[in-house]
Amino acid sequence: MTTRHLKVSSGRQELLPWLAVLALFLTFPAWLGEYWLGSAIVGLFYVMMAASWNLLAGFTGQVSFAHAAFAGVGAYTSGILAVKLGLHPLLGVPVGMGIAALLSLGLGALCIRMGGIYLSLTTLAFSEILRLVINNEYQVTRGTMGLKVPFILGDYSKATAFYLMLAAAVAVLLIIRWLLKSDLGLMFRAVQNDEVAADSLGVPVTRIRVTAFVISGAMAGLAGGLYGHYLTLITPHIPSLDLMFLVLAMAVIGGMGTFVGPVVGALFLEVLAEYIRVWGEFHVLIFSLVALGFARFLPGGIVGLATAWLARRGAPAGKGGAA
Amino acid sequence: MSELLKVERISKRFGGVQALGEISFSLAEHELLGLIGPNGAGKTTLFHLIAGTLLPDSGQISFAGHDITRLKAYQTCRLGIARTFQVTRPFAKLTCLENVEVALVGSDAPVAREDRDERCAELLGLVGLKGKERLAAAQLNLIDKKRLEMARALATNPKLILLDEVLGGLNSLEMGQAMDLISLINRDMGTTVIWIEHVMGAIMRLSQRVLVLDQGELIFTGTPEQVAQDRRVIEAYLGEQDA
Repeated sequence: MTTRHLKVSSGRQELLPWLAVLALFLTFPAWLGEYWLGSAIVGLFYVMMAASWNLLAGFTGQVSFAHAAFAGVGAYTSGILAVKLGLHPLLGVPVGMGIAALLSLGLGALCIRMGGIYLSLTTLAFSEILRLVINNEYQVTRGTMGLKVPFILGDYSKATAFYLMLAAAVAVLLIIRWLLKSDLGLMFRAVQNDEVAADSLGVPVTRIRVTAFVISGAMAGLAGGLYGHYLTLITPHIPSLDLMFLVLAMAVIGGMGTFVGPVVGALFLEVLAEYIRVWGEFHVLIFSLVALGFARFLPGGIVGLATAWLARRGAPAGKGGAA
Repeated sequence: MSELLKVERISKRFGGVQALGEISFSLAEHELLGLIGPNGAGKTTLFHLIAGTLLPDSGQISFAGHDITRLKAYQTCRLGIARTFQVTRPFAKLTCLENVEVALVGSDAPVAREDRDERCAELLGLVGLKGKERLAAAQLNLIDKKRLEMARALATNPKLILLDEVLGGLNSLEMGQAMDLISLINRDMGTTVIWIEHVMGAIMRLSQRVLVLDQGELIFTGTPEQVAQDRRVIEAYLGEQDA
């Protein structure tokens, strides 16, 4: 009885590849070199962003455009607290996460009842409002110049930032995985599949959706805060729609509604982005076009492709099904 | 028998169309009430209002001593009102077992976590979906989807179950099985039932009382025998069919 939940694969043998990847990641600071270690840190930031956005969009069907904005809220909250009050980033980041969660709760309670396209539009508007506020409140945020903030922990070291980011990413993924297997996760998927039916079976649809929105927003806040204190310069790029669409492309290309998809998508696109960096911001445009193609022709993403391929090759071996 | 559901002068309007106008009736515990009427009579709308999927424009509904007029569907469900949908609404990407599990968890049914799978399998067996526990609901055919609707509704441990055309599209063998199930739910499990159906023979055989709706009005209430002889009912029905 391993495949209790269709899309959330379980079982001990599934854990091995994850542990192998984790072990590989743990060795990165020893041999990867400064430049690519930087990419790995950014990649982990995107893993957290894409995975938490997918929790919302892929598992409860709510397409939010405020995800980067909540990362920005986390980053700026922690950054401003550090600059103005001298609060240590390791304390500031959780506070930023809390503020992101609170704002998610407010925004969620306001617009989730409306659902569907209205949620998307309201979150888009929220994102723009936040950008304008950050750009204009120069005294507090330093506008487009960016806010100079202290490094996350001790003296600047990419290895430190990497390990912290890795720990956070692992924590975020573990929480998402646990959630998806919990009763709440089952409610998420029920609501995504058919909210009228879920409602009729006793599922408080609005509350479930707001809960997903808040959890996802808090995770974005955490990711943003850590990222900001790694960069040591928090700019409006974090809460930008550029970053939002990049995260969206990562989740879609990796495979929305699967656990692994956004992780694969985020790492894949981050590495790819390094190779096509010479094209400047065009890479977001290209990723968006590719994401459109995936959404239209391969909604399962890379992971969907790989699963189908493995199933075709491994069908005689009898993996999956009743084991 | 004590009163379980009381509907008082409820009405519902969709834009310019009066879907239901001032409907009143009451329902005793353990009763099986048939609800018939031509297409567009307002039968499903009545279910939506009782279950809380839609709110009435006016009137009052009380259930087991609670005023449920303005309650949402998830709240009426937790009080003990379950329903099936005429156009089935399975959680397509979830397995049959998970579909039922959602109902158990959502309705706070008193089933311990470790007994859940067993309870879900038992309910699926009861409706005739044994062996299909691990199939995604999307893979089911129409009849099995209707069975799944029943299993989910039963999982919420209802006092009152609203069945919306569960026989539509079934062959005579399957119809017999479905009727046995309805009879089991009502007589053996003691669950009160309101049943919308177009298959007259079936509804006449099982119902203790029949309500007839026509164009949003309650035109008749009585036993199946009385209904079959009532002039207005015959006109509403045969007039419609002949047209």
